[in-house]
Amino acid sequence: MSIELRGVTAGYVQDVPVVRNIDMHVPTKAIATVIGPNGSGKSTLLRSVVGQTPQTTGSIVVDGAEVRGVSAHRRVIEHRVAFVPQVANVFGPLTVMENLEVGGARVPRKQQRRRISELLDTYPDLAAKRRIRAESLSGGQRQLLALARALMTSPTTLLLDEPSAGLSPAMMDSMFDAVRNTRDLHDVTVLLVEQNAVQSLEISDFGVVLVAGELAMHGPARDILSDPTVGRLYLGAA
Amino acid sequence: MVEVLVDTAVRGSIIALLAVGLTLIQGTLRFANVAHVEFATLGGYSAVALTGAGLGLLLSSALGVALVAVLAVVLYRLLFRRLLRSGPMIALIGSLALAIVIRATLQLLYGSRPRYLPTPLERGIDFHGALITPSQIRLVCISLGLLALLALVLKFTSLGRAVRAVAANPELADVSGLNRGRVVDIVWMLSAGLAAVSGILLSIDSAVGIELGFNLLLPVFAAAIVGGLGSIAGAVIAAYALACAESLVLQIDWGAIVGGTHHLEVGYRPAVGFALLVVMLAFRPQGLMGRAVRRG
Repeated sequence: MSIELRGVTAGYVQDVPVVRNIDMHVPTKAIATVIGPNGSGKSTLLRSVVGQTPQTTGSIVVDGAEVRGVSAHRRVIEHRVAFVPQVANVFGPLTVMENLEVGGARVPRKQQRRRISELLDTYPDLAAKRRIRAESLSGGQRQLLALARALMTSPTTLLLDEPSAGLSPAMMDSMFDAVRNTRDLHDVTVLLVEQNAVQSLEISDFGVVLVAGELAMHGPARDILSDPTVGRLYLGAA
Repeated sequence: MVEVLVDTAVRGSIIALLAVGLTLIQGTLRFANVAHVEFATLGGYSAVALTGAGLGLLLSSALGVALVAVLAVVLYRLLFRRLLRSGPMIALIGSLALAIVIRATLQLLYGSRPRYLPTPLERGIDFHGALITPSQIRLVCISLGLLALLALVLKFTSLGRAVRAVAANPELADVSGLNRGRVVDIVWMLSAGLAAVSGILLSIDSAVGIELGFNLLLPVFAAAIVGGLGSIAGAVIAAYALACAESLVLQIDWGAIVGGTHHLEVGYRPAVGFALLVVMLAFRPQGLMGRAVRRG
């Protein structure tokens, strides 16, 4: 259930890497937050793990298995990687139930029903809106639905791209609680990218600082939180 | 008035079968396939070829639909998938070229004279003053049955949800574990299959010629756009509305405006599609049931 990146270089255009030579390791059932300035390649790094950004060199190992060259949908099904993008992370014209059914489309029918029932119990806000189209949900409800949809395959690795983006402060707290509870309840390893770095590092075991596509720092979250340079540059410390 | 209804039902059914396929491809791949109507022509000629080889009409029709559906997937994989990497406009131009190649090939093989399927001569049935043939009744029933079946599949099956998910958000579909390539293959098969059915039904009703599909290009595109590209229900409603408008324009006595008794010739029929298209694009570019494009 761990994630290991060794010398990973990835980008959208051949010979124009967005992230370069990344080495990092997220142990089983840990939460790791990637922080850094805008354009530092945080989302690209996440997308390369799920297979949506071409990886030019290096190795990505999920649960001990190399996933380089494996398509995104196979990483989801065979390597149990789940990804929640920052935007457009629900199927807007589909209802809440249909979103969950699509998330579990490759799961056996019986298991799919049971999983939906469990997730709707966990997120009662969604249960009340199960027949509503996802595009009609509030920002917070959409993020919960996106998370629930990703959990339909019972993943072992969960990748979250700015889950608190656009949420009110109260909803942000709920979202970070939901991330921590997800790790505790579903036994997943979580790698998330966040602009809201302090709050995210506070619930994390590890932190990764990415600057201009390169790894600037990697270590326990509390060390990153207490680092004066990181604090001044990325955590809003005086 | 009953004549208008009968004409609307028959022509609207043909346009609807084609427009629904076109809008399915547009919805999942974001490109307008000009060659789509040629699948109707290919359906008609496949049935002609297979009945000519001694097979019965029903078996020939079923095999013809299957052949066209498989050919569509082959064309998608060999041609359109590559073209789409360069963008939807390149794919659209490629589909225009493919349509010309298909018509030229059929002309080379079958000549330009229309071909007829071996169907018995039918006596028209008087329906409240309008004549309708048994093949036209079958055409309407089969079309409506297939459209209803498609709607049920899209709404209530996992395949239908997968198609709608790919249409709504292809990248999210990938990371939800859906095999987008397989879903798109199935959409091509369904779309081309429906087009082939419409071509065969039209051939049974009248004849098949190399212009069968091309003559439907404008009304089919008009119905898909007026309905809202990507909207199945919109395409069906627009197809019947367009057929009704076409029929009304031909039935109306324009003498009150131009003097005497004056009915428009059938050649003016495509103008109705153009007019509807222009009005819709000017005032509601997203179509009857399409969604307004929002960025961000």
